[in-house]
Amino acid sequence: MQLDFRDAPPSDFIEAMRTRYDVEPDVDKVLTRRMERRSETHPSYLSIGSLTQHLTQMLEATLDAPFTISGSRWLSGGASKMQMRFSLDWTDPATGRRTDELVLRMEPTESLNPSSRQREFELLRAIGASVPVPQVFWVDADGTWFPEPTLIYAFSQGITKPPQKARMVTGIGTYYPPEYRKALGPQFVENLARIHRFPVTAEALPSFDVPEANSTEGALWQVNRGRRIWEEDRSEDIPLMDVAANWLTRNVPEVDTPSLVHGDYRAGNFLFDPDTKAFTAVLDWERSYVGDRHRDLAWTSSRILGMMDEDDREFLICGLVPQDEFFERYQEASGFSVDPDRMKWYQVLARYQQVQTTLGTAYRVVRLSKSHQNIVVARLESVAYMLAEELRRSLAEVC
Amino acid sequence: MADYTQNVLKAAIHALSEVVAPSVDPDDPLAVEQLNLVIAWLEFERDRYPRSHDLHRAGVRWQRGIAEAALAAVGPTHGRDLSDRIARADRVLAEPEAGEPQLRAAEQDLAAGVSDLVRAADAFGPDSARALERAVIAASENYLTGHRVWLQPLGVEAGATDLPPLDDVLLGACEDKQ
Repeated sequence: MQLDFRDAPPSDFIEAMRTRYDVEPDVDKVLTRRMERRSETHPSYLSIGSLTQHLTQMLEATLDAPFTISGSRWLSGGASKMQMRFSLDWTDPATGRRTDELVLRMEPTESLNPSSRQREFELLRAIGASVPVPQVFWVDADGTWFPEPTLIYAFSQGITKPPQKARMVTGIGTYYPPEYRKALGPQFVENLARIHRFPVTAEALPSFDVPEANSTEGALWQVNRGRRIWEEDRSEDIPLMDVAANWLTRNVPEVDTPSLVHGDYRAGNFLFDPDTKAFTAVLDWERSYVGDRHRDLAWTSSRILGMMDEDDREFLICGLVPQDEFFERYQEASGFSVDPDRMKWYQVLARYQQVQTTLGTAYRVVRLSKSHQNIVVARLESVAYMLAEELRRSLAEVC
Repeated sequence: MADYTQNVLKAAIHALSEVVAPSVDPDDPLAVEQLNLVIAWLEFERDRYPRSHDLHRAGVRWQRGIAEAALAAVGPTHGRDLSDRIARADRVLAEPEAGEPQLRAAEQDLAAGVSDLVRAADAFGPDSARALERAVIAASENYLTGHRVWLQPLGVEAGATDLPPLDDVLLGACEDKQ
């Protein structure tokens, strides 16, 4: 294997990245930790048995009464976290003896989306009254009991896509037949509006930094995060990424009202009941932060995540809602306006982040065998150039 | 020489599909998912590896196209280093026996030269910076299209109708049309 200093980054490189790219302190902590540990050898795969052992040790230290773990098994879906489902028979001091179906969600040795389980824990605990999310139980924020930071939450019932065979589409979108769109579309928009309306407080989300309103601080944190990870992970130069970084940095917009941003709000990241078609959970909050709502709007409305309707007349955002209707409904439900100029900036940012993940981080994770899902992560290369072409087209409109 | 690689890849796909797959626990979604992905990758490699050398030569040409456009935008004074890199890449392309490591190195050398220029763009003044960036955006299309076509059998763009045939992108027909 050809030597690449990013495989074992020297401390001066790690420090240079920290100095050059100002990000939120909690994000800096996660990124620095992964770079400092990158050259260490850790098993990328743990058996169900050994993961259950770690779980047992944590619960023995956490619970006063006896408990039983059963039915441990892997969950698939998603390439960035290791997820195990299990049943826990235990005594909750507040409610007594109970059995819960739970999910253990652990960061791999290096993740496709390096992120904080502590933040995910705080967020799920805080937002549960506004948006359907899994109930959280415990977090091992620093990997005290598990090899890596780990979150434990309730298993949510539901499915991510209609059970019938999907029609062939180009891209990675999900096809929802009209009767599903009618039921799911309004909930999709309403939940996004609720996320953005969620009152962010330091008490509820202590690990999140709130950027100053009417300043460029929040947008700069995001472009710096993307640039830093690209610099830390990439295998080669891609001049288009440098053009994007220049344009993003020169044109950083102000955030009017800092909102909670989901970060990866799309089809596949929510569950619904197949009978009632009601949302049962919004999942995968690992990219969440406090910033500009336009980041979610730009990401969610990406061409690659949506598709044309059956008549090839209307573009459906995430395969669910016609584009114009999506923005009308969103503005009505959230009370927020949609600024076309900021949409353009966040479209470029979102594409930049997607290419950074699929061509930069995915390459490094696979090269160093850092994930139990290396082959799933490697597969992302097949969408990377589609995303880069979207980035190129977005830049051509604004440069 | 017989194509032993094709034979072995075919045997590997057969072994995984017909022998290993039925033995995998259907209740282990990770194992099932990953086995299917491994089979898909092997099929992709079996389809594409005979053209691997063509891809690497095309890769140099695509980056050379970006480099030429960048050089034209910034002019010879700022572009001296890039001009040297283009000359080096031309020598590699002119060498019929240049192997994949040399081709890959030439491609990366060109990309690094363009990226260095773009990172320094603000020092050239707003008009030159804009011209350079617009040139890179336009010239990157061939490079991105080429990779999209190469990866098309993996299925993500299986239904795409706007992509040219593989031969056109690998042998330069698309660049000739620009």
